[in-house]
Amino acid sequence: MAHALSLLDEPTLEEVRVGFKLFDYGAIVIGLHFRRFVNLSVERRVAYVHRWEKGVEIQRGIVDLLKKLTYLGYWKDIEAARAIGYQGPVSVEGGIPNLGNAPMPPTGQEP
Amino acid sequence: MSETSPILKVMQPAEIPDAGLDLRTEVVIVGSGASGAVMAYELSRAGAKVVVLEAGPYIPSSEFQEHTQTAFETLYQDHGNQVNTTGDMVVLQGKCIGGSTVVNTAACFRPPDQVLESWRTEHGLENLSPEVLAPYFDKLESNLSIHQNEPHEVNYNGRLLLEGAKKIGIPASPTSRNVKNCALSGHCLAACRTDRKQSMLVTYLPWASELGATILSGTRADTFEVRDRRITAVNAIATDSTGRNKPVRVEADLVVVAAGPIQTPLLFQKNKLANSSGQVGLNFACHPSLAVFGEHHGPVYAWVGATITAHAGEIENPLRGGYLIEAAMADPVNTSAATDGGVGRDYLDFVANSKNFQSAITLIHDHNVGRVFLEDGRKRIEYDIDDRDFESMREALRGVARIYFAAGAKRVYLPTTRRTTIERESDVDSVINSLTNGKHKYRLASYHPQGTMRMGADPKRSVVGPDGRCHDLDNVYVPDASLFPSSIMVNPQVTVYGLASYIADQIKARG
Repeated sequence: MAHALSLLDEPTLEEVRVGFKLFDYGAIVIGLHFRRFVNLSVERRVAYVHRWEKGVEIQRGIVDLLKKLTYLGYWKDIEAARAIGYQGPVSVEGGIPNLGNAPMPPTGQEP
Repeated sequence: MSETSPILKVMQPAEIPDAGLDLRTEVVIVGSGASGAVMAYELSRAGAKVVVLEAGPYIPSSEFQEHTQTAFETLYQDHGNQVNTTGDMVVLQGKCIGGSTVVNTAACFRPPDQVLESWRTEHGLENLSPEVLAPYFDKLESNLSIHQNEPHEVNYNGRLLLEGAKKIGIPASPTSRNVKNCALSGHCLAACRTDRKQSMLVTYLPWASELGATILSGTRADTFEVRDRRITAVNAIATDSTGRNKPVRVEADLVVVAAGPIQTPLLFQKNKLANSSGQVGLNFACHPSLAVFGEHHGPVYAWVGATITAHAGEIENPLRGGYLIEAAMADPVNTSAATDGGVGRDYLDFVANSKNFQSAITLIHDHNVGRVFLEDGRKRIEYDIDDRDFESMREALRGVARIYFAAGAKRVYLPTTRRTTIERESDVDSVINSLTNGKHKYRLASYHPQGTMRMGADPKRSVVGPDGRCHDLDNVYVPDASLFPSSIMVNPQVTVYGLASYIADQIKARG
């Protein structure tokens, strides 16, 4: 996820930082868990995520971004994808030749 | 051809002297995507001296890795992170030599006649009739090897769509694509490693280069020099891999701005040009797309084969609430980004079953309710789903879900941000009817921004005239999808190629 975040422009990154802090520390007060999200048990983390999924617009946006970044980070490793049957890159491994540029059309094309 | 041999002559920022470049040419084209490349070739072929400025990098196909995230990071605008202001819709555009044509699905449709007719009646575009444009499309389809998918190019996922649609009476057929001897790798969105997709990278750009056009990569147009209703020079910034900026100035007789429906209006806004109508940046539409998955009892392997294989829907009736459903490749990244598979154990079960998923995306004929603008120098794409368009989206979702169940799916996953499924065919209406419009409720994606430099006959209501020339400027043309007066519902690349080719002819006729 750190790599994905490093590709954001600075103003967007700052908004994401604020959003994720709200999510993490929100567990203390909004979630009434009296602990940050990162310190909750797995069961409570899942329940907390589900509460935010049903929350107001900003909560839905933050938790959805968090999930998407997690997925992106996880599947960056092609071996993880291969474990579920996804083939990954095929052209080099399969020896598929490169066709190069298409030939230029003949002169006198209409219109 | 050797894997390492150069296939396109491009001047990259590292080759530009620190002091910069000062060029003189007849035509300067900003952008090397669908419209910029066609213009570069057509005008070079007519004998003009052409310079193309592309903000993105030149990455030859031998460096494509068939890896989705790597492609996002290297070939897409904002590394694949370009989103609307709300933050709930990703707007995907290519940012590289060849633009979006390098990373699109290769799906090809001519614009529906109904759309062209509405452009005539509502925007005074008498010239863009199907009859006038047909020879342009014929030529492009020949040049780009556009053909309807043959049986071996329609994978099981596509056959399920065709079979399900036939059972419930929705028109469906194999899709046309600009591909030659497709290797069926399923990696169109990560760019074609073997040059079978006939993108601008392997067609119009090398042809233009062969005819003498100069192509610069990593060179972002920034300001215009203006005199007497004419842009006399484009000032750009070339940035090399170390981050060093080098000035590039191109003096030209004719200027073509083909930077795409987001960058083109921003460039004119920044330069406070061509906006007597007040329409620059307005009328943004984008075919908001949703991905839907249908879980079958056995493997479908929707990620194997061509990226788009078949489509369904009333595509000739966009103005009457039509929609388009496309059987689409879905790798683990796209599957996870497009719908909510849950968290923890639920998510693991979801992805473990993903090989059994039938996959399709929906496109709708959305209204031009958005706008693109700069706010404190920061790009903003203001677009949320209009309530009228939400009804079209629900109709499209109903269509997909019914097709899936007719094809034998046991469960349908909807593209919501909170996991929503339909467990049986009889629940389709009740579940879809319970969906409501709102921000951050759906996993939205747009692959087709358009409409921000509206074309029309009336200078008070449009930015660009029927011949593609800006109403306010005598030597400036805009040929990209920003000139669409309304959304077209279908994948826009053929329409863009056709309009660019038509506009090139208008320029040639003008002399």
